[in-house]
Amino acid sequence: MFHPLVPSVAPLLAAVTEAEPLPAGAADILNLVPLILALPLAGFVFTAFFGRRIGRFAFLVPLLLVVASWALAMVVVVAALTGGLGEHGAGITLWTWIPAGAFHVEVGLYVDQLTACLLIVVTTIGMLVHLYSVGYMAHDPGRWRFFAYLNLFMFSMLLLVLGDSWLTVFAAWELVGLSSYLLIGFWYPRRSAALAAKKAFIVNRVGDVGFALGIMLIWVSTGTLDIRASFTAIAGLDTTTVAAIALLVFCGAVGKSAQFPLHVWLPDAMEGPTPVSALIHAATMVNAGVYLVARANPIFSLVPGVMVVVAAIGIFTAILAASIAFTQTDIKRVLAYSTLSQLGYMFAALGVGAYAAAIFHLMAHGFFKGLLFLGSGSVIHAVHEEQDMNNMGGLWRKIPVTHWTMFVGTLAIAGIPPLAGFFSKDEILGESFTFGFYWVWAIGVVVAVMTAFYMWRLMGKTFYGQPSEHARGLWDRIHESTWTMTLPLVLLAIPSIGLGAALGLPFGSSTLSHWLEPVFGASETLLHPDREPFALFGIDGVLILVSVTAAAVGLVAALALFGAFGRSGARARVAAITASSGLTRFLYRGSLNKWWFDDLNHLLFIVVGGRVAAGIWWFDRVIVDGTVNGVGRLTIDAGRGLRRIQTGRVQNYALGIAIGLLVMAGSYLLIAAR
Amino acid sequence: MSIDVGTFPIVSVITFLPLVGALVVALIPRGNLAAIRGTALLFALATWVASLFLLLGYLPGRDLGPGMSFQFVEQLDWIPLFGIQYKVGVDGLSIAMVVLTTTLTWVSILASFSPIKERVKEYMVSFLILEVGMLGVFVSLDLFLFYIFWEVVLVPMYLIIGIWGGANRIYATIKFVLYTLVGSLLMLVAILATAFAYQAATGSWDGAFDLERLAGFGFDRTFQLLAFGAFALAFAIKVPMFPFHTWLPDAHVEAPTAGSVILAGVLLKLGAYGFIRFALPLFPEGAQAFAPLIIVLSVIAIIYGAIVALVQPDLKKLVAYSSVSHMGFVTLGIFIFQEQGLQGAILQMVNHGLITGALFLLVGVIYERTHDRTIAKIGGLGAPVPVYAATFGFFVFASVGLPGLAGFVGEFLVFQGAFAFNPWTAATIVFVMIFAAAYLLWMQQRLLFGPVSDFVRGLGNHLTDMKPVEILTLAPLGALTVVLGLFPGLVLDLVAGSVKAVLAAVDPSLATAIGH
Repeated sequence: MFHPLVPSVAPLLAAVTEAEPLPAGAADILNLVPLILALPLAGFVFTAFFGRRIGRFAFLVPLLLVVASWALAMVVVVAALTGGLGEHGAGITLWTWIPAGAFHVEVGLYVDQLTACLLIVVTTIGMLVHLYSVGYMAHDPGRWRFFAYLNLFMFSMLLLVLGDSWLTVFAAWELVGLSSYLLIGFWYPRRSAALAAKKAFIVNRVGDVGFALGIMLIWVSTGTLDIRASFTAIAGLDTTTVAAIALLVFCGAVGKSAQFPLHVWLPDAMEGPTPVSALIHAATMVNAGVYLVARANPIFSLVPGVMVVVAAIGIFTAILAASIAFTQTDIKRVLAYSTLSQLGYMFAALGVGAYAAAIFHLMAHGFFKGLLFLGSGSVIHAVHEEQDMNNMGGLWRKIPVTHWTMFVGTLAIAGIPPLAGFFSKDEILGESFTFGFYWVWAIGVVVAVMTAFYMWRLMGKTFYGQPSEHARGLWDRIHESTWTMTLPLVLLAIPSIGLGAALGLPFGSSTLSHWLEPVFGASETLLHPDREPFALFGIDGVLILVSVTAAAVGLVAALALFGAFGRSGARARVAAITASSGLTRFLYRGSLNKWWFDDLNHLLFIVVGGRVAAGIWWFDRVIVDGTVNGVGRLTIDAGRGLRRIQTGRVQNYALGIAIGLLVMAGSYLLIAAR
Repeated sequence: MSIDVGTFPIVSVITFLPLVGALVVALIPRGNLAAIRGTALLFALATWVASLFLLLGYLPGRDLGPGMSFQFVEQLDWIPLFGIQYKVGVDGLSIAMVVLTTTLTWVSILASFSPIKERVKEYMVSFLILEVGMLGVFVSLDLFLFYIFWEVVLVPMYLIIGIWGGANRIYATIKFVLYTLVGSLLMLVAILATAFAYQAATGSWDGAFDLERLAGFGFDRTFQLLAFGAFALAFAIKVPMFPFHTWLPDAHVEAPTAGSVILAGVLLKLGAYGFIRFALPLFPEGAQAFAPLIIVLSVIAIIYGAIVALVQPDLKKLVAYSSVSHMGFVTLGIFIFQEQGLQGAILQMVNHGLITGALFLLVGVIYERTHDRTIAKIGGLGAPVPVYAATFGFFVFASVGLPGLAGFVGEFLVFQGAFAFNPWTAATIVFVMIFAAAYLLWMQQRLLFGPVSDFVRGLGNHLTDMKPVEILTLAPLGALTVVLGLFPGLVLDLVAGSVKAVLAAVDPSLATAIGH
């Protein structure tokens, strides 16, 4: 099954390094790359040690360093996207991390067009979230810690997209997990926050088990952990091994991007402060899985069977999560399920081979979902840390900037043209159809209707209709957030509107797909060699119409139900739905209870697993240790028994001596007689 | 310093410097606690500094070629009649263990200043003699000498647990000593039998206890099986391997903090070191024959230790069972006879010493304030003692195996070695990633997070954050955890020669596969 280790590697590595000479000036650009990472790392170390003493202004150093990191990243991004780093990007090696004979891992950074796209999202949203947090966390005494963790996250996430070996990416993978753990559990005295943090880390580790095995398999079968060198080597392996590598790497992606069946940690992660939900659990870290599969596209494209699995998991997660979002009343949880659903879209796109579309949606979603989460934070602040949408309503006049920016975000996610989500989602649906994945397309259209519906339900319950009792109670004290919070909302609204048109046109050969051509081109050609040109007045135009209609249907239905009519009718409707038939009651309860996944996990892993562990401990005490102590006791008892021989009477000893002599003499005679 | 490392007996100086310290401490009047503590620490620090010179002196001349290559060898006839020598010397593996020992010893002595208030003099003398025994094991190149040091270790540890230990200390310490003795007496028999076999074959006692002469001598297969079995039992109990591990939780729970640190940090390594240094090169065929059994037991230990750790109500027991799991990596890495695996195993020995040592120190810090180690009682420490909480969290994640900190690289190399050996072995043990996160984060959550528990609130002013001296004990371990996490090559390069030598001894065909 495995190829011989070492001999195959050396020529490969040589081929990669000799590939192409770098353009002039590339070396200067590359020297900036380590700084992009080093600045937030320095901010973390500094703030972790001195933040408490600095106190109120502890945000300054982390904020400024992240802004500087953003500026450097933009220089690198521009260079990478304009060919300044060569057609296939360029990298630098920092130091040898693990020198264990043939297992030789170096820490290196590599920038190509895909990395550049991720850098845009991570540094821009990261910077805006830092700014937003200045206002959002203004009254939290532990906010120095918050900014330290945020900087740690920025470092880890940037390492994840820049790392050039599988093990470096895995290290960053675990480090983003750590920062996520620390930030979800930021308010650690709250038990629910502590539990959610632990759950996120452990569930992620389930996926990481697969990822780690995948890395081991890559090394054993190719002899290298350099990502690019491994691609060339993997192309020469047998299909079974390649499929195993792809599936194992995908396990990691499923965990980090919270896809079914490891999706359970993400909604709980909303226990973290809202800026964290926006940055980590919507716009960046949860995209890591999408990035990983896109990065590994030369592997996945060799095994179409595995890609079907990716598409199926993705589109199933999309509809599963959307169905749950229907009935949740916690504003952040609706957004969390929406994130799961949109990530599902991205995996569906990866699975059908529409890699560029997946990255397109990743970027667009990063901006508009970041906006929506930050907006929800502003809402939550306005209504005094209330998250239940049943306690909101009619807020749009009181917090207009928040409302209008969220309005933009909602239009974008619903897929209303010409906003960002329309272009990216349509590209996913359209390519699913043209690549022959009709089932992905069909489910995708249903999910589009559902998305528009639950998002406008959110808008309706939050901003429109009559204010709830809770909202009326503090009506006069509700006011718009400070500028550090509203400015990021406005800045995020711009790409939510314009990013799609900027990157997604012209249809069929968009700017973004041109950028990413060097990364995905070979795979897309391999998967879809005879691709039809885009036909606006043909099938593709019809598909666009279907998408837009789907979005419109969801929008109108939701506003009709949850918009101007207010909330008085809502309870009656729920009662009507649950009473109407067994099926609707089941669907409603299923959605409300998140299809009982948490209960199932609790039963399996806490109740049953706990019993098993307790049983093994019993075995350890009673059987294993019992045997040891039993032997000990036996020795003591034997000693007690033998002690009786020592009677102290000379006659007894004389008898013993006599018997001994007889035995010895007898033995001697027996042996001598032979 | 212009020491001619060629003739200066630096290895003996390092080994017996703590003995000199013990004698000096013994002469100090009983009541002068400051002088007793200070002198003990001073000698431990001096030994540590000397061991760093050994490290620096070794590096330039190290030989990465195959075959055993010891440096700073000192050789004196001791009992010439039987060819028993005083022969010491070091290679990269020895030095890694020596520096680990000297580091943890001064840290432990410093950490004992405040908790140990009774019979301080006897305690410090015991600790310094303990260091002599441990260092002696790591530098001995004569089997008889090795055995003497091996048993020397037992006596002070017996006293440390038995006198300064917890409520059930007598049971624990007798169990510890008797269990270890059972194994080591069998090993003594095997050592003598080996010498006799060598004498019978060569007709001379010359070199009959000399490791370098005996290694690769080629004893006949049956003899190797028996002798390896006897050695393996002694080492397996010490590591401890499943199912010989049950003395460990008892010993840890009863031992004073510094005793636990040394027990986990160094004593467990003696067994693993014994396998690598003595059992494999002396009896390669025996090792090959026993390897499947030991691999199975190691895999069981890794998973079993982690699962049992999941349900421990006592902090120290939890860390003790985590040691069973972590040491399973070491024995697995040794017996798959594979370069990455063995390098990972040795790295894991160092890392486990640092990280678990630190965790026991941290348990000690909180025990000094609470006099209780029940996880269920302690809760919400994060707010009242933030520095402690942050330090605890750091070492918890080091133990979880977070990349960038020391624990990760050793474990991953063993994973990788196991995968190359047999993918299903790796696929089994890799699940420990989940279990380790579960038991460690569960412990962390119960201890540090959530609302402050009634028990903790009841402590009032007794609950103080870390004192400077406590930070001083943990800071070097933390720094090394980061440094070895980022630059594991510091250890891997040091032991690369030893690894190749051992693998070549076990299976000459492996030496060529590695590239010699």
